[in-house]
Amino acid sequence: MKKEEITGAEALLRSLSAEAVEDVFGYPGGSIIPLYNALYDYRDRLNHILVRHEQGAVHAAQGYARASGRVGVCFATAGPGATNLITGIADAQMDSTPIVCITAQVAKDNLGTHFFQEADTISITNPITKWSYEITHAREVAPVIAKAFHIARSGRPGPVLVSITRNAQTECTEYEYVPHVPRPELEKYRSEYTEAFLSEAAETINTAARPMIIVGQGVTLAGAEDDVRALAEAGNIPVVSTLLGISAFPTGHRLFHGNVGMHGNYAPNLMTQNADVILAIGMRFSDRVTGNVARYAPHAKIIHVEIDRAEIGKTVRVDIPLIGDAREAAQALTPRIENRDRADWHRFIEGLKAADTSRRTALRDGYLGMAAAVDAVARLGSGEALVVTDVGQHQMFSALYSRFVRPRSMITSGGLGTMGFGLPAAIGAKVARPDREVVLFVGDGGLQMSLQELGTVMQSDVGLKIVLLNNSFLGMVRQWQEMFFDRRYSFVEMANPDFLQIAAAYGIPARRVESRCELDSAVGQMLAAKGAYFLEVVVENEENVFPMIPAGAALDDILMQQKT
Amino acid sequence: MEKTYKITAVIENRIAVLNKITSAFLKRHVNIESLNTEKTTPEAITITIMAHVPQETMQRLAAQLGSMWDVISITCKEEK
Repeated sequence: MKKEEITGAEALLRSLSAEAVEDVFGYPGGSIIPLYNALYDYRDRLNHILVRHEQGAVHAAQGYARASGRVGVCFATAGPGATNLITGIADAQMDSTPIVCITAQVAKDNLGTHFFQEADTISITNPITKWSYEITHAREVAPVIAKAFHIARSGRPGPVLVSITRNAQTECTEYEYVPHVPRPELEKYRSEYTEAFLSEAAETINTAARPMIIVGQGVTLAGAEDDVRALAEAGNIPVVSTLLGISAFPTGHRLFHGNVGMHGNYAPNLMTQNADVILAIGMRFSDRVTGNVARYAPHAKIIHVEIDRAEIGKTVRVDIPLIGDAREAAQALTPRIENRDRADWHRFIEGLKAADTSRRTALRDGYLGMAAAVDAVARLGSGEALVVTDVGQHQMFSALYSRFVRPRSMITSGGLGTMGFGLPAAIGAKVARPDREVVLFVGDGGLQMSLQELGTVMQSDVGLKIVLLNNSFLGMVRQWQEMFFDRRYSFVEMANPDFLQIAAAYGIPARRVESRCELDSAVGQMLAAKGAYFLEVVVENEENVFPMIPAGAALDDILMQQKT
Repeated sequence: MEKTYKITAVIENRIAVLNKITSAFLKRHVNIESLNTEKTTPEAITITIMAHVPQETMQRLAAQLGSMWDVISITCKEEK
């Protein structure tokens, strides 16, 4: 019997349903009208969120993926629709976020003719996608979508782009969906360590006097949070995290000491420089983590658990590579790890923490800085909130002062550092996790890079809590100009609109706080609000983020306050 | 120190894969001095590239090429 024939557009929607996709972020346009026409009949199965700019769609898909662990999906039309996705795709590539971007393309016969809204999407996105494909026949739809989802989520996740020409959307095809199973020789990720490597790693940890674990996002991506905690507890080993690893380990745990990196906590950075063994799990030793590589972790043997073999030894020498899944590796290591007292090492770490004066300065009485706002949300929300940030000073304060009791609770643009990421990513996170309190911390600069998405919050009734930390400056650049460019403030001052009027225009309840004494009641009011809420905190104009490791310096050179 | 390397990659036989390979060279600012492509099976194309690069760059480049989904296999040899 002949199989039922459907259009390529419908085949695409059915394929998404076969991949259990429930939510899609998108924006229609000329070449993608056939897909949106088919979507009209799938509204009961696919929840489409209409954004206000395609960049909002891709960042929302990223936020959705990172909050839920599922693949985020976005739609955009050909030409400008597709090119507007670029920043988000590059961001997802840097931060290993599984997303599938579906972009339309002009009809196959019109390719290469400078047709209206034609852009060479595949070439443009090649260097920033994990995989990409242009569908020119409807029959390709189901197998390509199956492969796209497999690649986006497998191993080290990443962004996949599928371009579909207009004719492939309207042509009819037989439809059958078969999940993608790659030939074994094409499977890119497999564990590549032997028993001998595991034993050597365990022996190295067991005989260490000053070991530490660095938790990266790979722990979250592998769902290895409990396994890594078990590993740390088994060996009584102190734990720190990278920026993207935050919330993979409970911040209140006795073994957890904060974050490493340029604006990480004092103790973790100094621990790195004193450790004799570093067990790095699912992280990539970015320049923001290592500082001056030549002076990084001078006494440490490095054990690197990492699924992407291309990361092994890329920036830092690795003594024992364990190429594979973080969860499997942690489970394999734990029974081999012996509990050791290491009282001197733990005492040393407590001493470092006590010596960190930056916290007292940032939270001092009566002072309304960014830290106080982040701390108020952490205190009054009991660390239950899912925190999303934009990029800049507020991002670093959010990383330093938030508290987390649950995994997948911190979503931030790490590798690419994309301003404008925060608001749409928070929308995506709230759509993925309507059961959770989602709080966005955003600066006045970054908010205005994707301000239009307040329209999405309004139309789709996204119950998001927005905390604007407004210092009327592009604060991080201003801090660098102050510290390293003789206070030559070159184009960092912002003349801002009345944000409360903007929130009101979108029907979002809002409040402004200008003194520290109002802060707790305002944050309490925000957290008690049923739907979306906009809280503007007018913070000190020229506050600097500390601790800080100046660019090119070693982790020992960490500053806890301004040099005078 | 720069050396001459011969990179042999077996890639999927379809449009755009060669573009992905060359953009990995572009990203690291490595010039391709010789390039040969040949269909070796119905599904695969074998490409051979000669490039003059520092060893460290070559290692990172080969690792990146090896992690691409459209690359079936890759070998990299120093040319004397």
